[in-house]
Amino acid sequence: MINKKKASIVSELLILVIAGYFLYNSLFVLKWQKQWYRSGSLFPAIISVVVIGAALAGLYQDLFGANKGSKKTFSIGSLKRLPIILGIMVLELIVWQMLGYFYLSMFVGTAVMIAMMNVLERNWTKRIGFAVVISGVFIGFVYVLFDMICQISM
Amino acid sequence: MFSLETLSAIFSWQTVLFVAVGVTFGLFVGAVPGLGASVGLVLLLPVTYKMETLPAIAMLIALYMGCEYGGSITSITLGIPGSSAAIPTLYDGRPMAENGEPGRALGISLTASTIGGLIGAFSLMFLLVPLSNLAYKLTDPEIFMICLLGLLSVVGFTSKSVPKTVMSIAFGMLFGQVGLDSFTGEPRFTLKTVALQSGFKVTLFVIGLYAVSQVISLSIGDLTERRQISNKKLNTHISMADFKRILFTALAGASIGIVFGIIPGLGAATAAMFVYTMFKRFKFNSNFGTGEPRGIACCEATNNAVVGGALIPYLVLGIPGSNAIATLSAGFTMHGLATGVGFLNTNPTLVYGLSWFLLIAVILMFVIGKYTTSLWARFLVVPDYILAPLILTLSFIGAYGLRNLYWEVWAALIFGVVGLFASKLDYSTSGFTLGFILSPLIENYFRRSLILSKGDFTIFVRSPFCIVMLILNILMIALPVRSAIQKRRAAASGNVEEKK
Repeated sequence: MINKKKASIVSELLILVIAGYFLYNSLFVLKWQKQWYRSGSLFPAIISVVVIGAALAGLYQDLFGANKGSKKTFSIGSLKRLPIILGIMVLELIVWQMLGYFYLSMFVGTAVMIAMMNVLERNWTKRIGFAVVISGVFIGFVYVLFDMICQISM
Repeated sequence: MFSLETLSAIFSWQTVLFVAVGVTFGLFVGAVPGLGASVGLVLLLPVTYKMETLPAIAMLIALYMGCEYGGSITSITLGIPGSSAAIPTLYDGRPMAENGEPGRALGISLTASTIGGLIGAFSLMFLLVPLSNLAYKLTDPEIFMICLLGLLSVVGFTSKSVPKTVMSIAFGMLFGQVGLDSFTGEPRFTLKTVALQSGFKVTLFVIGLYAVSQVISLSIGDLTERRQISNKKLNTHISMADFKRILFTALAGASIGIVFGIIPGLGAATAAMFVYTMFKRFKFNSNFGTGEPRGIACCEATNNAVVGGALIPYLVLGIPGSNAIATLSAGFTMHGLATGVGFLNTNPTLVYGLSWFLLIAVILMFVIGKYTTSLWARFLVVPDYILAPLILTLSFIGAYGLRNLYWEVWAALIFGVVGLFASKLDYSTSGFTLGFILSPLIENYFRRSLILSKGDFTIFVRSPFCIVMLILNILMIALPVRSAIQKRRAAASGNVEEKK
């Protein structure tokens, strides 16, 4: 479980920093232009101010306002499994980017994910076999559809 | 539009076949929980790269239409809404299914969706020409105000937290500013990289915030849970009595759906929820929520009518008023088309063709839906551990196939993680994408207005139309703020009484 108020404050601070970057860059260009209304920085500057204002209002709500004493929590699922799943996705992309074999990388990635997530099957041989078959059939279908029929090279 | 010359130029059996494929894929994507029209469109976009323009766009629109009905299949059979527009369908569809009549619920949903879809398609056919003529009379500040209303209506109608929704929209607008300035060609916020000069693409956000975040969510959710259909009687036939009972509600819902579709920013989910809540208040609908056929009909007719309505501002003014239309706009751009004022005059065959194929999509949705609904319902029991990796692969193809850039796939993955947390923290992901989509348009009209007036901001309140729109815009912010303050006061007074 994650504390919603704390996570909210962190997200608002992060947004403040990013909006601050946009505002700084906008004002830096804006001040050099005489016909300010023609400037490409005017609109982003206004939007940055809106983001900063809304982020400050959100922070005020969390720290002093409606959410001051809130102890609400939220769950996104298994936090232990999150880095594993993200790790598989990242590895899948790295392998694809480095080796260049899209369909092979996707086949391996999909099979690994299915095998990892098929928690009800205790027998690992069956798990892996099932994952390889499903992944093979699906990637085969995708290959035929995109590479052979649509002629999109990946 | 109705001349034989136009019709013969438009129709071909191949296009009808592509429309059928679009509808079928739409039924599937709509039925898969957590996906929806936008993700479905992104996944199908790569397939349309090398197709001719009309069949490609017709297939995408057919997907959008099929998706709106597909969402109700899971709502009714599994009790999980396939898309956000199908949430209100759950309130009456699920109780009816639990009472042993899932087939009847699905039949009502399909019939109402067809009525809504037909009304939407006819409204597109008959409103396009008059509204296109009207669009020529709108000035830059007026179009700016319409776009602004589209954004603020998200705050007014769907906001859980006003500051966070405003933040989401404005943050999305900031991301829309990355790239080359369309007026001067100067790079803005590109971190001095060439990759960012062409800016982000909306499909990237759709893939990241919706598809990838859903994949992660499914992957880290309860993997021991298995979806089960409670009852396998899925014959979608409905009686004449049921048809008569839902007809008025479906027609009324569809009419409201068109209006919601035309107003940029609202979309099918907001429209369906609004109509359901409104109809529930009527005395004769007191049994809403207990398996009432009219409860299913009103929201299903509404969300399908939105499709036709939402295409109007996009084709007439170039304003993509919802995430689905914005994703669809990527298909238009891919085929070298830029919608907006004058689009109808320069591409009459295409626009009329789309109107006709929307109509055909509705008819095919009814036919295909009637015979394949039970198939989709059974397919949906496919466990998450199979579904998630498959969606991920298609998402990567969607992200990379767009411009063949690796960094966009990485960005989609990052946005997926961000989207997972953002929705839990009450940020509006749909507000973010809508802000991103409308940002270049709003800036364009904003700057053109200011250049015309030489920096005089009163140009935005000079015409009566602008003043009316300004009042509506203020109301869209003021009403949810007032409601939040009232809730807070009520909660505070409740606490004081409890302490006493």
